[in-house]
Amino acid sequence: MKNQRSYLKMAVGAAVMCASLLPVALAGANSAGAAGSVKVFMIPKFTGVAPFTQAAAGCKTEGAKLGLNCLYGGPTTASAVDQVNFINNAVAAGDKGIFISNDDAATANPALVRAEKHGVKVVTFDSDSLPSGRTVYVEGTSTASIALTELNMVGSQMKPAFTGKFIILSAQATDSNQVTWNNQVKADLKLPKYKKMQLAAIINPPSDSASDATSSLQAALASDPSVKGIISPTTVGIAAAAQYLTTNKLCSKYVLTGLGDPNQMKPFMSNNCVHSFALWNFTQEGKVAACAMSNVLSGKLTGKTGQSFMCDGVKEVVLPGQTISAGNATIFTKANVGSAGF
Amino acid sequence: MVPWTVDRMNNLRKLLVRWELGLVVLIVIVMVVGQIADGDLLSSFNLQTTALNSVILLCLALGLAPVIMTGDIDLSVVGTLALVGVIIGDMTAHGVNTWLAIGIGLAISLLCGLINGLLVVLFDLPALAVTLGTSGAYTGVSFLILKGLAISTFPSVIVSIGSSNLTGTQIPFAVVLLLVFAVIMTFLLHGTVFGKAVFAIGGSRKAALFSGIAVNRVRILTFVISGLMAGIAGLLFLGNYQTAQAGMGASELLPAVTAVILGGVSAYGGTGTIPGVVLAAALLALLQSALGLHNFSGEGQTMAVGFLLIIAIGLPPISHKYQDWKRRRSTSPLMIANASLSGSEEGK
Repeated sequence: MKNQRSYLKMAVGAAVMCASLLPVALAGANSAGAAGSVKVFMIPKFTGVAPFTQAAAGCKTEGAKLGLNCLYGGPTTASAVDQVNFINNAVAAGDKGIFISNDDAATANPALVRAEKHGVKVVTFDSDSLPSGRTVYVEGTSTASIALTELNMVGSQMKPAFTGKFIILSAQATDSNQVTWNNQVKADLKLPKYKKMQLAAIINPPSDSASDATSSLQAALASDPSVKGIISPTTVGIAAAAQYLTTNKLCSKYVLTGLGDPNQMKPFMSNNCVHSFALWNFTQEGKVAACAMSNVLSGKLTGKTGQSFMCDGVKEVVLPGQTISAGNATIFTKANVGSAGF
Repeated sequence: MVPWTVDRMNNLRKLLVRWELGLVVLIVIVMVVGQIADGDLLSSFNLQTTALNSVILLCLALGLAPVIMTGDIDLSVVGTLALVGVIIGDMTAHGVNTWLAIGIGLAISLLCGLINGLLVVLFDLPALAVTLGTSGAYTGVSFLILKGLAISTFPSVIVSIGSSNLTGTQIPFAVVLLLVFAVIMTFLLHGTVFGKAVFAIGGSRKAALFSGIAVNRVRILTFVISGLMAGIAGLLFLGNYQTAQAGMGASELLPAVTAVILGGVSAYGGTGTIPGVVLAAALLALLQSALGLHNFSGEGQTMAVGFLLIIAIGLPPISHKYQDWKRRRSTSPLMIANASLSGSEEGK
């Protein structure tokens, strides 16, 4: 009995100990906004990568001007199931709006629909949900411009120009923005300019991690030695590929380009492994998302094609498919990679 | 390592009855503190969505518990979940009768579990390696079936099972279903010969064999149960998230294992209770919800879960050491002398 009791004491003691940490932790984590501001919650695909941190920063600065308190949080790995927890929490916490970049279009959609039923407005950014799960979708830049930019960057560096096989090193097969861009590339290959270019394969690594991207790329290059170019439309993929080519001294053999983070890509530009890549301004995307949310909350924006609103002095227009394009992609070369403001 | 005497086993079992009490205390504390901090934790919407979201985790944990109790592990549960989800989704998308598709899906989950069990037991292979391998294989097959695409429309029956409420209430049907499963598993493990065999095998495989227990059959059966529960989790996943794809549910493995260990099931086998696992799943869900409501980052939530897991694994050995120490102090001076001489040896 004595032993039991002492154990009980310990168990309860430990329980109280961890629980007592809870309020301390809670007190520390709460980033309460300015009085009177409307709470909105931004959920990235996963946290800890530059683009989403920048989008959150954009949302915060622009949101502050519009009376929005932009909170930010999400899963640590690309998991749509975990995103659902964040959606539910935002609804339960009484947040008025949710921004989300979906890990896949479908999984979080029922939770988004449920949120909308509770009067919460949803604006998707970067990666869309199903149309029923949101009012409008803010894309970093248009799909058309991404696909053409990618093809031009890889094609112009191929020898002879715009001739030969290339592969796309994409992300998880379910990433809805990746799927859209890749489909557009496939469609654009029918244009006369790209007639001699051949898409050998679209590689979908099993996860959005650098190690999976590297091993998938390695396998793809080994299986088809005639490949000359690599497009990687993910910041994780292009950096992993550049590292792989550098390590294995294959930079001169392959043309590598795609969508990359300027800070991450600087070393591969200076070692001449990558000559150009593109990205849009995620801070700007976050700003436009905040403006869109503000207008959705006030009821001025419902997603009808042709509706427009002002954001930081720029007029934004709703395109077909309830889509708003936040701006154009910037092409980075050695000349301007150092001065990238994001 | 100190050999497990019968005395110690009994002691541990008594101690673990207290484990559930500790979990209840923790749940109450999280509820009270969380509610005071935010006021939304115990709202009906939050309780409902939190419960619905922990259904998959609890379903996997209930199946994993008997496997871990025998001292094995099954990492393939999320692979099975995905395979069953994809097969049911693909069949219903091609017009197969819903109930037939569900039946076939669950039969395949039994088969997945059986394959694990046979490989581990008959070939005497380590469960960790085998189930890691089959997990990849099951996920791979589901990938081949859908070729990286996702299915997102399902018959209303499946959606209802996964996400509708009991008529006239705010209580999700899936939660009630899971509680029924928990009661069945509690009976199976704590009230039948099979259950006794599971704990005996976990305590000492050799001793169980010598006392005439059909060790192989029981171990295989635990893997089959684990497979079936993973299959059911796959079905519930379809209903709750309305999506089927190769990687579905992959992020649920660690939380499910955490719930089992936090529930008081020893990572070395031989101990634990099903009510403990249910309480642990509830605690994890409430804690994550409380932290999330307070705008705690994803990293913070992951850390909290990891912290709880380490406490759960670390507390029993620490308490043993503490008791040993107390026992020595309370016995004769001669014993103290002996203990102090051999103490450093014994602790290792």
